[in-house]
Amino acid sequence: MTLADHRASRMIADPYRLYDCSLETDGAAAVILTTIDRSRDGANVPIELAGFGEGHPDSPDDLVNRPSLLASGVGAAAKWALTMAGIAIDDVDAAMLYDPFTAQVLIQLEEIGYCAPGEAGPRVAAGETSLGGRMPVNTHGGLLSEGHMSGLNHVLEAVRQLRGSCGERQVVDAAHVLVTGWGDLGDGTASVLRRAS
Amino acid sequence: MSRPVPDIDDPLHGHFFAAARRHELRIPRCVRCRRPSWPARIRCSACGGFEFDWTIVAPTGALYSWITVHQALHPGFADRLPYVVAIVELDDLPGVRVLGNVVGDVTLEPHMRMTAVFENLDEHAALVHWTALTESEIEDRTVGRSSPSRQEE
Repeated sequence: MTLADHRASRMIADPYRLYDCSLETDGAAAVILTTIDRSRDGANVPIELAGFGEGHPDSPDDLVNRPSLLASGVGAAAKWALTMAGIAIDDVDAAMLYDPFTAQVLIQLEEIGYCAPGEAGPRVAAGETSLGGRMPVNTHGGLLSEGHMSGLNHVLEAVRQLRGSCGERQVVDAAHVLVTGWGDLGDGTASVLRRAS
Repeated sequence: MSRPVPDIDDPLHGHFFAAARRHELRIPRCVRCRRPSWPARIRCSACGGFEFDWTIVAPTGALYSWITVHQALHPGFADRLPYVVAIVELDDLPGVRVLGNVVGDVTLEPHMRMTAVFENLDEHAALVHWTALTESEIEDRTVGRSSPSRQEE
């Protein structure tokens, strides 16, 4: 898809055009959670769930009367997850951000502390979230370009990046990947996955 | 298929639409702490109170945000496309924002002055829409700030 294709697509709800919206997709994904000790006997390189968190905007059930329309719970969730993992946002090598619509990626980049409010757009445009950039985002295409499988495909991509099995879209030496989820009116989750040492 | 209509027996928001049928904009206030409780809830989120007065407020405010919908998300709206959904922050209750459609041929600007327009659906309920407040109306309302609607409280 080119920028021209995007701009030629029909308007759904201004300013979202067709290609700003993900398509809920039939599919299935699964992960196996177990202890680190047991995982070492598995066929694949184990990946550690190093941190996780949950957060909610106030009010959780009403978008219109929040102090900020853009507020979600992802920022608080990411803070918990990063703290539990003992790392800072600058240590994140790649991020799989829940992307039902395009702007949600920009909002989350600011909420998770990657950049200051208002900076996300220019930073994405400058290539910081592309492969080879400062923090590649949604290397699998995300909900928007791979498929909307409720975000579990983001977890799979994080695991694949950490195992080094992503081929031409591999993030070099990926050691920590942040995964976020976004539900309903901005309920947020975040996880930090890392290569088990 | 026709548009969904509000249920005036709804325990939370029924009063809002019934008041709109009388062309009044009413917002619940907690009897205990007097804070507005909007959107309506079973309990006051500030103090936990259970009782509310549905208070008349001036049907004017400032445009906070809006979108234009181009795809019918419910078949009852298909013949209305495109339509605007706006958020208006009320003059009388700063921080309290009410949703509605924008009616009339209005070029929207952030923070522009808006006034409610009531669309009667039947004898029981009306919808609250919004349109631009004209210069002369702004002057009238500034002059008559202790507006008649407030004396009815």
